[in-house]
Amino acid sequence: MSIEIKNLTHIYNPNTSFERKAIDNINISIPDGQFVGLIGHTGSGKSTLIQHLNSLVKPSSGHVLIDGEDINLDKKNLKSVRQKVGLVFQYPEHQLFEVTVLKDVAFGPTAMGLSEEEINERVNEALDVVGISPELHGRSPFELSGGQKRRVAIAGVLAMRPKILVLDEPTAGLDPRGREELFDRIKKMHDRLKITIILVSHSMEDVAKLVDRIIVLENGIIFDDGTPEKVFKRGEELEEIGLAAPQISYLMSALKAQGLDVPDDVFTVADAEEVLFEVFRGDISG
Amino acid sequence: MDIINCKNITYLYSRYVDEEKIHVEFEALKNVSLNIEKGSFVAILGQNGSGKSTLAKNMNALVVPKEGDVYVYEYNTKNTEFMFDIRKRVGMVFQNPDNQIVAGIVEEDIAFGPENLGIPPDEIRKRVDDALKIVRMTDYYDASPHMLSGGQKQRVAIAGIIAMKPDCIVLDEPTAMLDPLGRKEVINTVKLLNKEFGITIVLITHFMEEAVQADRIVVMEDGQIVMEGTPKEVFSRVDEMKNTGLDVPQVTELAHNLKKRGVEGLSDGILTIEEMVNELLRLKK
Ligand SMILES: Nc1ncnc2c1ncn2[C@@H]1O[C@H](COP(=O)(O)OP(=O)(O)OP(=O)(O)O)[C@@H](O)[C@H]1O
Ligand SMILES: Nc1ncnc2c1ncn2[C@@H]1O[C@H](COP(=O)(O)OP(=O)(O)OP(=O)(O)O)[C@@H](O)[C@H]1O
Ligand SMILES: [Mg+2]
Ligand SMILES: [Mg+2]
Repeated sequence: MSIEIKNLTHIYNPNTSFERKAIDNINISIPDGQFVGLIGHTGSGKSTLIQHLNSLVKPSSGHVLIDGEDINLDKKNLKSVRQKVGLVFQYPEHQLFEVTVLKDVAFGPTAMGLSEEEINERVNEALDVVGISPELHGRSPFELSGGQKRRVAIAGVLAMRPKILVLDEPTAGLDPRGREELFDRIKKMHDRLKITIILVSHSMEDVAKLVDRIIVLENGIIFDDGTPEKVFKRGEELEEIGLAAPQISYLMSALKAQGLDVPDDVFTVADAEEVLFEVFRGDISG
Repeated sequence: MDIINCKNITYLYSRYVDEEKIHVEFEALKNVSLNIEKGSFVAILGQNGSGKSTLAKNMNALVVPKEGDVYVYEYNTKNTEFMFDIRKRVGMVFQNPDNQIVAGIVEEDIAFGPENLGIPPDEIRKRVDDALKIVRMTDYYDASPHMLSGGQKQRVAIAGIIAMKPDCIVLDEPTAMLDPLGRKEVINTVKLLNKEFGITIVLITHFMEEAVQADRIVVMEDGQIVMEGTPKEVFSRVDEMKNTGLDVPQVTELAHNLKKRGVEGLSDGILTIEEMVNELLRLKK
């Protein structure tokens, strides 16, 4: 499903001394099936922007179109919009409320009016995707560790099988394997079901590995928009706005600066491994 | 000298299910022994649910063990008389910056802790000023915390702890919600506190690059300590770390992979970009 953001502005507490323009006349067009990374320093407006996508936050001016339809025109559409656009919040504890993990994850599918069988299937699948083992299914979500809570919150949204999946810092607090497995599965889901995904993240390494396109927000406006190659090449400028390039980019730049013949648009361990292997394999044979 | 000493501690979470009819217990720490030496910087790593936060809460008497004992200096955390003495010496910083700030103005927020300790106003003034200086937030003394970035908020939270003059600070994933700059700011502050001010640091993190900064790394799994050593020792064990569901810094992994593919002469446990660059240049010669 496509997303169209037109001249969107959001002002918190308008006409008070706390007035704050968090989104400033933004235009973004995301075609169906794209995997987009949204980055920006804390307070740059990422969470505000994405909460517009299922009408949790309403525009001060401008429009949000999902699949060609303005989602704020008719209140009656709200329910169907929320089923199409699944949003995982930045602070998962705000999203959990049921008495058990199972009931919590079942909440969305139940509200969609699915059969019990279908609900069970989806709930178990979603909990498996996020790596929550059956021993934890009967526990209260509030009796979990930080990372476990986040996983359950993500499962709750996955179980609704949204056409557009929006993840706000989904891996903050997840351990490395959890992060890798989750992304692996989300990537597979993306490839298989052709859903549109927006990933908000402070981890440049994760973004580098996953997305087709990166949008950089800075004080409510778009600072850059392009492929990871294009965006991460501007490492120094990214640092000026509180961000960074992935660690590997810095390694490659440092090697290049020392006269080694390596490209400077490499930013994942796997790609760097290939490049450096080529450079140093000569030393193995000879 | 040890500032914290956990001796064979076991911790149980207990709860009632099925309308309070069944009592279930979950053993989150299983006979854990760990000593934190005064002045050291210890990082704790481990998968979700491995018991890191539970261990941290045992370190300043937020909870007490079911079996075994935790000592902060000579104070046993089970003795409620010592609670004040313990909390004064071991401060905690948590993940979410928004949940830790209590007052509407930065300096009032920092004064909150010392006020509760009954410190006289002049002394509080001095402590707040000093703490702001250390975390490099002096310019923001009268700002509203809501106007600050995540990294700045975490530094204010740290300043609030520093103002209580603790000997040790336990930080539970303080950078999980921060952007790269905020993460760097917080880690640099933590290093400064440790190196310049001799404050003992216990840092829980899922970022391997942060753990590289510590003197010693402790790895937890399923309520137990399964590995311990310097960053170099621990991160040299790349496969073992991955099997525990953890990771190593990206450059460490890259060097490890290149070695596996036959690039010879790279040392084990390369931890930083600088080390990696030096190693590769050496090979090229
Ligand atoms: N409910 C609110 N009321 C007033 N101001 C707000 C509110 N929520 C956010 N803001 C302000 O709007 C701006 C954008 O905030 P937002 O949460 O969208 O940023 P973000 O990019 O998601 O940051 P982070 O990386 O820390 O999550 C910030 O200056 C923030 O202080
Ligand atoms: N209130 C509670 N009631 C029951 N069990 C709990 C409670 N809090 C935590 N646990 C369980 O205790 C174990 C240890 O939790 P702890 O919060 O210490 O983990 P952690 O290592 O900090 O994990 P994370 O990386 O996710 O923060 C987990 O299996 C968790 O499910
Ligand atoms: Mg946000
Ligand atoms: Mg924890």
